[in-house]
Amino acid sequence: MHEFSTVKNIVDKVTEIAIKEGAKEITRLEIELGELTLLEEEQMRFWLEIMISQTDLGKNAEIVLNKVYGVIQCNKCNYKGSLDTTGMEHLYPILKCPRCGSHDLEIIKGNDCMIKSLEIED
Amino acid sequence: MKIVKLEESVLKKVRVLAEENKKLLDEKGIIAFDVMGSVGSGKTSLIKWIVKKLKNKYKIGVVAGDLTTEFDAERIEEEGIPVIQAHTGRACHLDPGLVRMAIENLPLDDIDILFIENVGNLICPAAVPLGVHKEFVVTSVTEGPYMIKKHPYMFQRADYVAINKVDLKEAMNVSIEDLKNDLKELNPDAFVYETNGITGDGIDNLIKCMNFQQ
Repeated sequence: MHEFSTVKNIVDKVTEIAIKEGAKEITRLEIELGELTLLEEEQMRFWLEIMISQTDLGKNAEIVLNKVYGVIQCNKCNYKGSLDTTGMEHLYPILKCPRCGSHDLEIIKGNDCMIKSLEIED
Repeated sequence: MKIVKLEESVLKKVRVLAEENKKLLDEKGIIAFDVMGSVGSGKTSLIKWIVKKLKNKYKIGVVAGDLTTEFDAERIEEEGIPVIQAHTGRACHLDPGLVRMAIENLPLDDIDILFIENVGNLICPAAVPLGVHKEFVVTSVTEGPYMIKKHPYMFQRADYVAINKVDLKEAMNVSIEDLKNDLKELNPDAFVYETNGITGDGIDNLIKCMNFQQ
């Protein structure tokens, strides 16, 4: 459900930029979604498609949603890489070092949601 | 056709707002807790008990988050401390902007401890930082034996966990040890306490662990 408010922010921002750029139409919107955010990919896509299609400029916009895999650095054993995503944890990995089991780690990548680019007809 | 490159973080705004809240709280010397948990887990009852036991030693403020009602704020107000009700309307979690509006209506110069009671929900609040110092999650045996395992995102970040309604463990056939082991697996650093929100049992230990003196 929190995907709704995130998408609302994206659509507002994108519309604001498109207007500033003098766009007649938004044709493509590229979003990068981190695996370690608590944003569900399919819900993001669902709300993005609905909300952008209801704007004046984005009626026909193509949505490209790219997933960015998580990378962590373990503060105990210095492991750097992905988390364990076997079994059910492919849905959302537990923040635990897959090598030594420590919970003391930093997230290096995959903790954000970015508006990467906007394609417009001007 | 034109391509506008942006590289704009959508979540940054939320993080910045949360950091601003934390800065304000730090300037005022306030320690703040985000109190999260399922609907009906006992968040308000435990806050009320903590307030009851600490209000003569500390100046406490509470932000009570709910969709549209004011029951929680009214219950805590009975303790005679400043309470602000933050209404989320339809939203399933508080956000740092709403919290900012709420705390600006509290006498911050006259508060040592702030409890922010989030909307009853074990999922969405885990995604949204508010700018607090500590996260306190309340779960209860009536939520069944798998509540911690089923919500790793919330429990893996908690500083304090209360397992509430422990008096009902036999009736619910829930093992407290199993719940504690589930938590240890996810988050070995969290402090976990058994509580009873009706009688106040276990609250003294929780308060001690939060480093407050009665």
